[in-house]
Amino acid sequence: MVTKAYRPLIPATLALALAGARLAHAANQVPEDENLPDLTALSVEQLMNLDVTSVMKTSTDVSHVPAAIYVLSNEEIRRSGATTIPEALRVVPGLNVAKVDGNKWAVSVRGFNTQFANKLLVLVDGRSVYNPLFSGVWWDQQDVLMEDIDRIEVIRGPGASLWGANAVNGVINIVTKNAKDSQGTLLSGQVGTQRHGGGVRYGADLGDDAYLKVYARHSDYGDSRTRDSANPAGDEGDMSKAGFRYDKAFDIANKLSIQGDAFIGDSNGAPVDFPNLAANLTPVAAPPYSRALPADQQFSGHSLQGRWEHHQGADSTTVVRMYWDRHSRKSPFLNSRYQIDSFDLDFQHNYQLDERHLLLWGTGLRFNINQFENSPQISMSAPQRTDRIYSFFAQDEISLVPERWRLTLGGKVEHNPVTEFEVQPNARLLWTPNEHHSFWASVSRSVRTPNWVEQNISYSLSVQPIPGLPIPQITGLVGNSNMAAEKMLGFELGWRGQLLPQLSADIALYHYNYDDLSSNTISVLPPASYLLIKSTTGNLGIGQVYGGEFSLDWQVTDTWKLKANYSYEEDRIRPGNATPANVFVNDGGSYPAHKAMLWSMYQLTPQLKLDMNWRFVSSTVTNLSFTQGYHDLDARLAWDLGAGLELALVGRNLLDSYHFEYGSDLFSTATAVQREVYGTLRWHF
Amino acid sequence: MLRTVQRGGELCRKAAASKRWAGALLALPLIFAHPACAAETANEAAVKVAFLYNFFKFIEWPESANQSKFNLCLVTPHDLGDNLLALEGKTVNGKPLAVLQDVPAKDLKTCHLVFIGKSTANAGDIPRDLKGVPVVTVSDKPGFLQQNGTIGLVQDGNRLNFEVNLDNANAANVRISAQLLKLARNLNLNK
Repeated sequence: MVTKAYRPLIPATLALALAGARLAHAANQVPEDENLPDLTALSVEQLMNLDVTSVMKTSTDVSHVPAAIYVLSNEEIRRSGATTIPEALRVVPGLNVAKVDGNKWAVSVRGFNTQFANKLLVLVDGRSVYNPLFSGVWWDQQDVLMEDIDRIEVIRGPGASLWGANAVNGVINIVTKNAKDSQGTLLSGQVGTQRHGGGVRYGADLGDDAYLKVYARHSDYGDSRTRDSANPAGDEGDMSKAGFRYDKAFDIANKLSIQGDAFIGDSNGAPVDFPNLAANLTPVAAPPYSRALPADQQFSGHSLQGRWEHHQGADSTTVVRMYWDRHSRKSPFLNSRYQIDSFDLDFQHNYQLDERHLLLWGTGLRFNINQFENSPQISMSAPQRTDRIYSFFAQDEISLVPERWRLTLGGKVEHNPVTEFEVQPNARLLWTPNEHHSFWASVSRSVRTPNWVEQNISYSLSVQPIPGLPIPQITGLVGNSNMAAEKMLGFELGWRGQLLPQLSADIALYHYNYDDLSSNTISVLPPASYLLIKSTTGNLGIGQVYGGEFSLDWQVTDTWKLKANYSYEEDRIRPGNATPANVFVNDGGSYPAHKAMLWSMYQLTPQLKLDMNWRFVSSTVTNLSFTQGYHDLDARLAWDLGAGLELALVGRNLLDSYHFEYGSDLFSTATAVQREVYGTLRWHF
Repeated sequence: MLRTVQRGGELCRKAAASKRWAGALLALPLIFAHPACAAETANEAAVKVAFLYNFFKFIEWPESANQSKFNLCLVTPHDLGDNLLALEGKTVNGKPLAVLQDVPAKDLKTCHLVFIGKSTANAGDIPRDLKGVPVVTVSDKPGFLQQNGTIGLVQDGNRLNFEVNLDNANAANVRISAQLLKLARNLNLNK
């Protein structure tokens, strides 16, 4: 029995032991601050007996989150030498990260890895950067000033009960530093064989508990070469971004935060074959049937977000958040552009009901507005559309046996205009037999709602001659307005253990069952002056993805740390029973079965740090291509000159002059990932 | 941050006070829960906040002070941070406790208790200006009592302790309960 005097400590304990709620914590919706301990009910004598020695977190901590989570710290990002977010994500266990060309990436968790991977939700400071057009993320426009990232939280596995539809296989939360932690001036830059760029950040204390930071960055990435040519591929990219953040605390219970950014950039691509079309979308009657066009895109956008956090005492917090996000992209090779606006308003309440129950509930409203410019090559049947999405979620985290057993039950109900109501429940159980080990299990149902492309697209893929016949054939991609949501029932198990004070390990296993996976059905229309082959989207895919991830953290000595991880994934994705052979499931396969990484972080002298990161990725087969496996090495040597100045030399892909990580896709031609060397500077004063 | 572990009726606590990790999901410190674990740990700032709250319970202010509510004033910079949230909505003897930050020096007279952070440059000026006014000054600055402060929070090994300058309390016409005085590490009397 806990003595009465300590009862108030229990809420704090539970608050700390937040799991699912804590998953939603930082950037997403829940308050930034921990629920802080309330010691006020202790007597003076008890206070005098408390040990107040602060304990810094070390890698030897056993974490108590019932999910496969990895938090990439600012320090790790810095030591990885990454100048883009996907590069930084390469070190996260179990994440599939493949560079498609100079500026395009395929990033996913647990299967289904394509440039348009659609089962991963990505948030930047709680703002969803998920694109309703294709359910994925444009990684080229997400980068912020890397030094400004406080951490990146990566959850492998479903997060739909909190974040809603589309957080099916994982959630990535990119959390930038608040203005208070960004005081002074920061200059950063990189220059090398394949990239150059730089950024500046300035943070000011406005007094009266108000802080402001402004930042700007520009980065350039050189082009590479394609698989069959040594000539420059023309896949260079650049992006400029500027932003600000204002934080104000009105008193201890009320905090306001306003942030925004604006960006513009180009993501060019190596030439891709596009069909030649006559009027009315008919194929040309005579060769050339296609032409190679550079797959260049221009993009721009901005976002503005406000967030109000209010504490009613130590055990109740509400957060209201609003944002407006706009981005547009132009593709000259398709004679098309689009602009998407997202307006989002959400409210969340965290409430420590009593010693046993931590409640979390919230509601939200989102508008996604598309304005698409149709062209002969590509068009949308609803070029102007507005989708309204309403949602409500609730979660109870129950301490069944204090310190030993914790159960989290939650769910989200969402209403979207296409598939109407979607219910996404989740249950997680955590068992902590002692302070060195924790075991967790989870079962959840998640959905991915249909995107605009699946529903509305009409795109002419190719025109080809038919051998022996005087007519050409045209292949077209056609949307389906009756798309259903993809559904997933997921089971997960995990263990984390502190094997020795310096050695910790983490294992996560999963088995996901999918139904109504997005598919395409090929149908041939009776020939007229040409043969039309239609590829119509549907929900005929079923199957499983299963596998596991293992990672190890070993502080070998005070100055040397090793991190290792290995992951295996496998799938049985197929057209559902009794479907004809002309059905194929989208994005099945598309990932490497094996991945491994070994990272040595070495402090040579108090001023010199050496990092070496070796990774292995097995071969990747997509619907359109085969990419060989590879292994490679990145290294970074950093020199701390004092006064906040650090210089570093980074080498990437040192083991080969080039390798390929992905195949060509619908609108992109894969290019080589080359060996490169660059220097970086970071000066904070 | 704080976790508790119960072992055979014993309670062991450890905390990671580092603000850097606030919000980091994994910032859960190791618990040393062996039977000899008598030492309980907590975030230092949270303990200071709890001390301040407790002081209110053991101090009586004269009639001249505001009797409808209690004002706790904080002179910045201090490192109590968000731990002050614990005081949100709290009452002392049935009266609301208001937490006021950044009170101008001239208005400190309206406070019941003023906390002066240890990094305040001229900590001694405030108690000097408040001499004879019924305001209790508290600081975690070493040597605060010699600078006319009333209560000093002092670190004693890895525990927090406090000392009281009874002369100053008397001069300010505030009465500190004997229960609190007997717990104080020492009672500095101005020589």
